[in-house]
Amino acid sequence: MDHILMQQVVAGVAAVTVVLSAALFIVKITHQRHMSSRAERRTRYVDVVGEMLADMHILDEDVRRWGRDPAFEDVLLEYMAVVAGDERDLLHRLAIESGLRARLIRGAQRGWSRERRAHAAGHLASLADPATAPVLRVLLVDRVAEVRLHAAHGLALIGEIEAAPQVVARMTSETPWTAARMADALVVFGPDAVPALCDQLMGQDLPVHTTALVVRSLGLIGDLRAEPTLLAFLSSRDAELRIAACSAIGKSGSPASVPPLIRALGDEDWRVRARAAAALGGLADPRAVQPLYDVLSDRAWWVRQNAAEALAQLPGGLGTLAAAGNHDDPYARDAASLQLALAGARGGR
Amino acid sequence: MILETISVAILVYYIVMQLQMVVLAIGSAVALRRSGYRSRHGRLQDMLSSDTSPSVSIVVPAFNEESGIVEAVRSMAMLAYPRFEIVVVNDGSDDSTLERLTEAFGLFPVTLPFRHAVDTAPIRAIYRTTLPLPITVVDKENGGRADALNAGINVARYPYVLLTDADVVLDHHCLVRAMRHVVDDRVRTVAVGGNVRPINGSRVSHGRVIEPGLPDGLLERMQVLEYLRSFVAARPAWSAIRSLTLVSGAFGVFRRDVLTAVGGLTSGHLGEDLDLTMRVHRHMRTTGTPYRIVYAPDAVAWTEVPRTRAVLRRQRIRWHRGLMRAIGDFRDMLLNPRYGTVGMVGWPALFFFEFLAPIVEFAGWILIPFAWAGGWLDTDVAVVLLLMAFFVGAVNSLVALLLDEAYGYFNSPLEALQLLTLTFVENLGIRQQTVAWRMRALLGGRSTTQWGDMQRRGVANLARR
Repeated sequence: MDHILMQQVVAGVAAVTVVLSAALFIVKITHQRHMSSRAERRTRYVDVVGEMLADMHILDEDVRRWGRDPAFEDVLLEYMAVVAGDERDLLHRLAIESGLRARLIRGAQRGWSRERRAHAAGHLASLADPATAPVLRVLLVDRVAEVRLHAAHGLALIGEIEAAPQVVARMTSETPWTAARMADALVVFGPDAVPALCDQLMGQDLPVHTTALVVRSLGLIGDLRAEPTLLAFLSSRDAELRIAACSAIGKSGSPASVPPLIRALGDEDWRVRARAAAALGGLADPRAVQPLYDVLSDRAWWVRQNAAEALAQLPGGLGTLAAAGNHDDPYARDAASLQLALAGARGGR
Repeated sequence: MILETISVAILVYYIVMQLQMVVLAIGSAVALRRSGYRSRHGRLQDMLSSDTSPSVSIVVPAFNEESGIVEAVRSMAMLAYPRFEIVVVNDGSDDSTLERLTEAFGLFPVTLPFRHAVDTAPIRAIYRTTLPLPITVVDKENGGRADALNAGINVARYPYVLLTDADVVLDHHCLVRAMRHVVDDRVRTVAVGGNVRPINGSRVSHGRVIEPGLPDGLLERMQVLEYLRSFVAARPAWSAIRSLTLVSGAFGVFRRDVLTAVGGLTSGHLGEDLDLTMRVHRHMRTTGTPYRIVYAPDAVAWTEVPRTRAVLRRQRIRWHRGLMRAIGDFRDMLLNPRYGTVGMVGWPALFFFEFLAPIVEFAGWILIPFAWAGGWLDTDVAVVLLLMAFFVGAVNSLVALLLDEAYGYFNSPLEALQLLTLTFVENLGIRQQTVAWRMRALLGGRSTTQWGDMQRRGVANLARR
């Protein structure tokens, strides 16, 4: 009895082995055929869409069927990433006429699998058609994180400025990864979103991690209208915000930012001092030379290192670094000599 | 009667071991699906221009790597990641490794203060490059791979350290894919392991794998299958249940403060990556700090696997010696609930199905034929159990191959057929050979306690394929 049962079990496992072997082989062959067919169609779409862009006219092809083809979807979005103006409008029309836009909108709605919805939302975002902004705004509060993320980027690419504060509001309850990627979307909104973002930062009590991300995004946008807000965060009670502010000012600041950054060199937190030193290097203002020289003997290695690096970037800074060769503090001498060696070696090439 | 019981127990043990791997493969399938979804839709590429990506120091030990070091460093310098530095540690090479680096990158000596957080052999000099590349070269006296990595950890500036090797080819996006897990949870993520794949048979150009392929040799192909079973069909599941016991030495990102807290890598250990991972587990559990060690299946690093029987033998003996030492060092963690799922599941699995496996299997070779010949073991039972073990093992390999389809590295049906054949053939001789090597490791002796020459061709030579 036991033997029969065991034989049946073995036969069962052997059958599973055969099925898996067949499955593997079929998957390989199907996959290869699929890829080869897709590559052929892709080549054709690249040619045809290229011709349409050259003639600025949607050719009388069987466009209606294309919207269902993933190869066409890829080609259209690749072209979309490299064109602007009228050419972009033409591609938007092509997306409508081929039925692609409608298919993506349908695919992003609830009821489909998470994979399909995220895929559709991602491509809808890349399509960046202003007419899809209402759909993307709804998707921004979707229950699937990746759908929300794509929606934020789509709204940013479209330039739907009113949605920027909504994105920031979403960031407060997102995971660190999703919040960080939404902060990247804020950068894509560009300078037009700066006033709204600054108002939101100053007027709302946002969590520290969200505020720090928005501050960093403002720095990357690099618009001077953000400067007063960024400077205000330099005197925040929270070190994370002071660090983010230093970093942002270093990327976007004007000469007016130099004195507050010099004051930040005396911050109680070494990370703020180090970031302020690095930021001063980026602003290339000679007023920072002496304060940076003074922090060459800071007790934190990163502050000394960043101060020496910053001096090497400032007008007249190399002379100061050379003078630091006689500094009383051996650590200051080390930091200065390293930067002088690097500057000398690189300059000599 | 006793012999029959033991013989059946051995066969049942083997089946249970294979079934455990099938269960892991199913768990891995779920984990890989989740990971693939997040890779496709998590907007990973945005991390490359972000101001929020954590900085990473890549530490590369180099001992007599003159043939491939320049190509390897160039390849690493081109990795897609916003902020990283490369710290190459020349571990007292006898050849012209340092001269090659100096020539290629215009190195010049600098006085660079660094922390002596971990003890190492004396450092002779530190060099920086005149090129606008973030490369630091540490020249030190020979102390072995672990010692060189420790020196690199001391000199590294950034809070995260990628420990790798000079003969490893890193995938262009591997760092961003690994660091994604750190950004996800900066507080708890202390280590991220990558997916290591054999490079043999692949086409390499300018330090990049441009066309993955299957090697010609049977031994190399067998290793491809082994790597797939481990990295594709097991580790994702171990990671999902927080029981990853090994972050591979070829690609492992660690938080630097954790590395220094555990005293760096253990010099002279033949399985220093296993030892390090387990020490990190022990440290975090002992200090009661919430943590996670994660596996990133999409962070791919390519490594050259042994081509000859002699080199493979040395490697397997070394690995098993390393495992034996670790089993002794961490015996207190075995089935100890204080160490959570690692103590109760991950470490016991390694003990019962890695450490004990060759002993049990070897005993089976002797006892089962003896019991059968003496008439103590029913032929039907023996055949059925053997067939069962054979087919469950094949199922395990097949599931690994099917899971690997998600990456699409082997696209040709011919390659699929070759690997398919191997899943059945490897049980007929090759597997027994590796068991014999591991038994040799158990016997000890001088030859089992040394690294030996791994006879690798290096990244530069692979490029000329």
